[in-house]
Amino acid sequence: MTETPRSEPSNRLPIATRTMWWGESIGTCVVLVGAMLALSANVAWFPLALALAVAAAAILYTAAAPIVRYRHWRWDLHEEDLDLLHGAWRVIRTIVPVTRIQHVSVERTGWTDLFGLVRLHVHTAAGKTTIPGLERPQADDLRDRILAKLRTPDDL
Amino acid sequence: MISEVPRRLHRAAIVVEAVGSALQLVGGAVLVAIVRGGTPGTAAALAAAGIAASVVMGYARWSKTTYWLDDVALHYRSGVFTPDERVVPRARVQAVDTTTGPLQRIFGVVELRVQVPGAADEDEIVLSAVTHEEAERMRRALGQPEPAAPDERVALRVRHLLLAALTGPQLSAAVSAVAGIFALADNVIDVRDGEGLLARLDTPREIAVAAALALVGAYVLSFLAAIVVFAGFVAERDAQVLRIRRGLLSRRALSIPLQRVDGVVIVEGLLRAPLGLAALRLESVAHGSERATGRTLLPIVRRRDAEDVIARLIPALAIEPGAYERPPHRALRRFVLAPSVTGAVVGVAAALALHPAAWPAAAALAAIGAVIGLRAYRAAGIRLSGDVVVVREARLARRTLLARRHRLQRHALARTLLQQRAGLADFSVTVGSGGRGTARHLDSAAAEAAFGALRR
Repeated sequence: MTETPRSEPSNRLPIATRTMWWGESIGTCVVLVGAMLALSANVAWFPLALALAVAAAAILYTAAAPIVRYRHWRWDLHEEDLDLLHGAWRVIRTIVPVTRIQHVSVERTGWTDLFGLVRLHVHTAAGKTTIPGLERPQADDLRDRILAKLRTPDDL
Repeated sequence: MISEVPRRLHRAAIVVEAVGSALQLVGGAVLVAIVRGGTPGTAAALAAAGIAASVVMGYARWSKTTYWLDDVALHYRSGVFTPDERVVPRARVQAVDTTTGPLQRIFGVVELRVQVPGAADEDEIVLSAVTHEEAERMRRALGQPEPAAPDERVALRVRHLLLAALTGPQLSAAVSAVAGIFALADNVIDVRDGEGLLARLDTPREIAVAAALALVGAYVLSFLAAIVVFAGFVAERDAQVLRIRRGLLSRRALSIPLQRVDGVVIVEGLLRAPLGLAALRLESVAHGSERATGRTLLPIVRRRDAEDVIARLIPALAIEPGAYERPPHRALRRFVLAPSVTGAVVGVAAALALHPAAWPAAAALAAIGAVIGLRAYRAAGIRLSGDVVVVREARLARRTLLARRHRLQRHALARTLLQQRAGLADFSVTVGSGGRGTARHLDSAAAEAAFGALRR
């Protein structure tokens, strides 16, 4: 094993991403908990313990998942590639060579605006790779840095 | 900016368009007539109306379709009511393919297909009828080098064609065709006799016979389809361009610059693997959206010759003989466990749902799962040889991806917490067509070394 991989990417997502993820999952959680309570109240044979267990699991997951996911997200733009590391249970390290990038898009919606965030999509011939939360100036800067490296539009 | 006058397609395009839509319209009309219980007279009238409408539409389309080149781009405008214009920068054109169907042959024209990266099939620019000279001119203009005498040539002999068709993988297409025919027949008979074909299948024996018939029908269709698609298959290359020609009724000619080939997959299908046979599939951005047939580099090859043939046709993919980096022995149970448990669960569920006496099915399915897992374990492996990365894996078919390292779109290393504890990792590379090669449960250190080596 002569070659060791370079050090892991260092940039975290902005902390607001975590809040945004909470916001995204809280609706589902409320619906699920409501449905469980309604079930146990109205359906005679439905065990109360099961309803409570499911509701508790949903609340726990909704509270914990964004924290865990946030803690494991890292990204970096190196000289020649974009380097992503994410996943809590299954940890995935992805490398996208800059020369393969066709275009970069910054997605901004009313929802992401609430948190002062944007999503950055990096498109290649094989599909897109996404950084799920960046502050706007940060995203613009990253996009410009990627585009500055794109000097071979002809050769995919 | 120098721009040429917008050009029209050859007039044969009217016929090509008209015949295409007429086949659909007339088929629909006749079907409606049958189902509604109309007389042959009404069916004929509907068919005639369909043909007339098709001709009118064909003419209208032809008159509204134009294309032209300027300094930087190819422009294409079409559409009768809502004309839209597509502009493709010349430098982005990946390949220029031609198809010569029976109609095109009658008129001495060809259909030109301009392959653009990221375009789905329907977004490609298709010039349905242009003369051979015009096709040649367009090819030059779009940066395809002049064909030179081929340096390498691989042609499919008739017995190889038959072998390819017999072991062909087009089964899924054929199965759906047969299912369609069954549904149609069922529908028609239902109306005529007031009793569905499928409703008549009561006993297990009848059901088994019907299933067997459908299977044989599918196989025969798949055989014929493969013959039609792959007859006269030739792959050749000169110094710069790879060219593939194939097809019986409609001749397809693909040409792709060698430097734009990302890789090749050696596919050993279920029927082919035991015979030591495989098919070669081309991976490139140009033909990424095509179905498997459209990406065939060679429909059939002896497995042990595959690497040599690839090296001849695409020199950049030549690899030195060498050993694969394979999953360690401790990974074996991870490969076997999941498919056997899945098999057992499916078997138990089926036995409970259908017939408790069918419980041996659970054991049989678990055993099949274990065999699949074992094959996956034995196949999994990666290799680096010069600029080529090789990833071998097996799900049902065994696939060996040979990809040029410098043209990889993405590569990744993944491990679950359990894999981390066991010192294992999954390694995957993604090529321009979106195709991926994944080797699971490699030794962590080896996978990391390969992962690091892929970064320059």
